Amino acid sequence: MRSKSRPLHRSDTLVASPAILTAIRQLPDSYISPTQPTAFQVAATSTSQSAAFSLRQECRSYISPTQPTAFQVAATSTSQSAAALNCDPSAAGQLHKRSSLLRSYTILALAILPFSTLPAQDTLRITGSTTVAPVVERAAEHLREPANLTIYIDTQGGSSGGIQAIGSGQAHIGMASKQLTDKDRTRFPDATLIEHAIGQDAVALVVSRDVFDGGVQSITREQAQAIYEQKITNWNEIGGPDRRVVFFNKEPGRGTWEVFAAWLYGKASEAPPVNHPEVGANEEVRAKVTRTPGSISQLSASWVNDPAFAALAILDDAGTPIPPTAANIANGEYPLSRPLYVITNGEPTGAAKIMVDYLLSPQGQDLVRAQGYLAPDDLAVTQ
Amino acid sequence: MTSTATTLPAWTTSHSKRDPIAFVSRAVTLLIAAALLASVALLFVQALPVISHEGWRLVGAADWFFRHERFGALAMIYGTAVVALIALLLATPIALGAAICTSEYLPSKTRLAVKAIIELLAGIPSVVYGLLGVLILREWIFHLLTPWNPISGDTLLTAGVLLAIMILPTVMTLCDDALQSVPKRQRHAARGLGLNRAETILSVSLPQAWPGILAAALLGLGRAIGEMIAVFLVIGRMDNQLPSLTSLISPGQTLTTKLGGAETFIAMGDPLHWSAIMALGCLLLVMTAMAVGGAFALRHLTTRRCA
Repeated sequence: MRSKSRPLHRSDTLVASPAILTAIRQLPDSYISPTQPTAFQVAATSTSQSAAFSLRQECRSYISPTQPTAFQVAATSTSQSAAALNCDPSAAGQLHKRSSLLRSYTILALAILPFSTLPAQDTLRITGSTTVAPVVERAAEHLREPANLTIYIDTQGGSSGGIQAIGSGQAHIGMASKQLTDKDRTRFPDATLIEHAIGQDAVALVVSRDVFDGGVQSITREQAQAIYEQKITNWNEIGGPDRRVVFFNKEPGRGTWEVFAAWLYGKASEAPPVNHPEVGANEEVRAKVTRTPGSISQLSASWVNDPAFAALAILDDAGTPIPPTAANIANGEYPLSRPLYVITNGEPTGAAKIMVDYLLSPQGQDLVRAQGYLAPDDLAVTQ
Repeated sequence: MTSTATTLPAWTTSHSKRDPIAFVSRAVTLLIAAALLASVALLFVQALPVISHEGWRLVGAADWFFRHERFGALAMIYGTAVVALIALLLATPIALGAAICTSEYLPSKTRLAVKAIIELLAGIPSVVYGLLGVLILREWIFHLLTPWNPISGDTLLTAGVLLAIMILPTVMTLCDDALQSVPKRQRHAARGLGLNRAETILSVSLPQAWPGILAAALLGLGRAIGEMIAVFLVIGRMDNQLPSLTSLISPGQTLTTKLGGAETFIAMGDPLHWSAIMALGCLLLVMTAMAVGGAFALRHLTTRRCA
């Protein structure tokens, strides 16, 4: 029936029924993400014929294959009604009758789709450290469908929250970015807590090349603290070039920031309120430190492999500089480091075993590396 | 709904009682309106705890330290407003100039071609603009600002300039529409009275089209306020920067960059923090609604005048 219709002309624009156009004009606010208002908004808000004409094409371009939303409904109905109106009247009538029922069903089906869920066989509750969580979340994405697991992950209370939950039986797996203490174990006499080391996290303090070459190659904890609190504002105060200190602070919630803050203040929550420009992913840190003279930032140690910037060594109390090499991280000399664990109560079974085995498998270890941490294998090789 | 019903042509209304499409489309329209109202209400209700916790400090103080339970969003409101205003000030004159060219000087076929190309620009995903901003704009601005010793190329100014480029096509094409809606006969009359082209534009087209042009600018403003990812990439995300001599060339934070950042995920476990994030959403909604509402009011004014 489509073949009978002639191609659309610009003058056909306004024959698309006004009700549908109105419906489409009302859609963008709720369906277009704040990151993509663009052409659709133009078309939907424009009163001009040309914009309305392009509306049809634009509807199509916004349909995502993964999210059949009301857009799809609106778009198909627009083009069909436009096509219908371009056919000869009898054919249009037929098309209208046949497809309207079909379309109503389609719309209903699309409306119902998001609410239907598959019955789950197994539920896995995981809680704890925000540092470990990204790895476990990625692993969960890989496991949910093939293993038919329902996995809930939350980071309430961080590492200590994770230990508490696994000890008291509220979770199947706990996530922790610190070692279990004897106190933790005695708190839960009924539980046999087993740590599974899935990786090691270390944080390097990286500076731009001009700072490193200008004389600042190592730093003490006190100096790092003074820089963080904006008490040192020029590199010449600690033997570097006469240049303003630019501190790119890892955004809150990043494990990297937590390690850094814990090193300076004992607990991340003790860190004083300061304002620095924030950076997110490791790629961003690398790019910004490389391109900004006088800059310093925290970066996962596994990313320090680029001559465009340099990692500072940490001066210990004896005045020995300790660079963030894999060997120093593995033997615990380098202070900004911590192990990453998932914790089970006894040997893992069932769904918990699937998750732990996956995390320790080569695929799981790749997820650990993808997050910027060191995998246990990497440490063993360098030792 | 009422406007839908009044604009329907006779052939649809006569059958609407047994027309499933009419029924479904109305139901969907109603659903959308209800969803919008519900989400606004939900946003506001969720924001209530922080409103009672902070009071006026929420919009009157610039100290946002979520770890210390201090949620003063003034710096973000300032950031949002100033970035959008820079964008508007830079984009509107250029857009208007281009619109005068397409609408008043170009033959209609060329005009449509130029418009199509410019509207294509509006279809480029904002993250692409953001990446261009990271690659080119922030470096350029960093070099330009070197005498003033900026922290980096990520500044409110960078974000404003980037947004100006982004909203330019939107504003331009809407300005062109506004100018086109001025009846041809009036231009002819003006030419008949002996006015030349430039005089016709200044004394006939522009005065008639100004509410539409303002509406175009306000829609551009609405878009600029709501833009996230491109701004996120070049603004530096530094909290609590209030207006000062150097604030335009310092990193800053807008409501959208805060909402799009890492804090939204952290906030989920903490009712007060979450409520503060929701409050930012409310503030953003109010700012965008003001810009877009103004635009619609102005356009209503134009269409009534021209009718």
